[in-house]
Amino acid sequence: MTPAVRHGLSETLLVLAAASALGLAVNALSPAGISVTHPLALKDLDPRYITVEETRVLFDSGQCVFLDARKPDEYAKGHIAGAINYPADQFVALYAKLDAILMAAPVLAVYCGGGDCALSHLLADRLGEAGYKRVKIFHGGWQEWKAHGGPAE
Amino acid sequence: MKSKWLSLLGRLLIGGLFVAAGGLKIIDPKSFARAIVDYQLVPSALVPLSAVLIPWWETVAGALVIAGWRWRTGALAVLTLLSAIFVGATCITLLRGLSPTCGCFGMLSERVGPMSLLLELGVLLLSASLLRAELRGEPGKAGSSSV
Repeated sequence: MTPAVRHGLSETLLVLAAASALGLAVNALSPAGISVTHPLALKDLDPRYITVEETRVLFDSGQCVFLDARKPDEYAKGHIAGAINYPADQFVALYAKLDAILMAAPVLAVYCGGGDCALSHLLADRLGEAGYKRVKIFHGGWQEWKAHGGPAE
Repeated sequence: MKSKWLSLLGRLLIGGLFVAAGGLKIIDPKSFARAIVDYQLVPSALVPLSAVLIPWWETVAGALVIAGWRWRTGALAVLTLLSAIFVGATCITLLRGLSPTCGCFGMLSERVGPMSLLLELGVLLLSASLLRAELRGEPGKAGSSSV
């Protein structure tokens, strides 16, 4: 390793350390700061997120259309009872077919596998861009619904 | 002389880009945290820490590159490293068929796609070139000449 590279490496670590210290200090003092030691609350990440309890209330009300954003083969293995399969990557292809159903629904609840799955988020964003207003995202997804014994098909 | 001014222009461009990008994320860490979640690459437990640190790495390193006074080599190395990470993350995301919001410029970000990848590759190329010049002690290096 040449002296220039060694010098560059030590400077890199210095820059990262200084920036990290500054960032953590400002974050701790700022009203817009977030906790770095605890996962963010769902509603902090996105006001559209709903918990499994809230999802169950919507399901029982019968006023919500559930959209499963996963691929068809995953949907076929199991999904929320009555949910429509609307894969996030087929938004345009299925839009015309589903538009009337979606427009008539008081609430749309989108979900996917759950946890770190982002497909529901992507579908919800596209629905929002297409003009659908009352879109919710069931963040816990299929995994949490199954774990809570929600009606399934 | 010409390469000295080209180096200055490159530093101003790359430094300015990262200061802007980092600054927009600093004022809204929750939006950036959401973008990180959408990439599905970072464990949930590390998302908040990443959402706080990455923008500050961008902003501080970008400012140091613009100032060109101290730690310029280290700052360019940080920006090159971040650029490489962003290119990698974009490639993986596109290969997975996802197109989350880039998160590059906070709430102003567009969706990840071929154009965003091209932009990121350009930034990586520029920062890597500037870093290489720094390590070789070429014109424009801090302490060697006026810029």
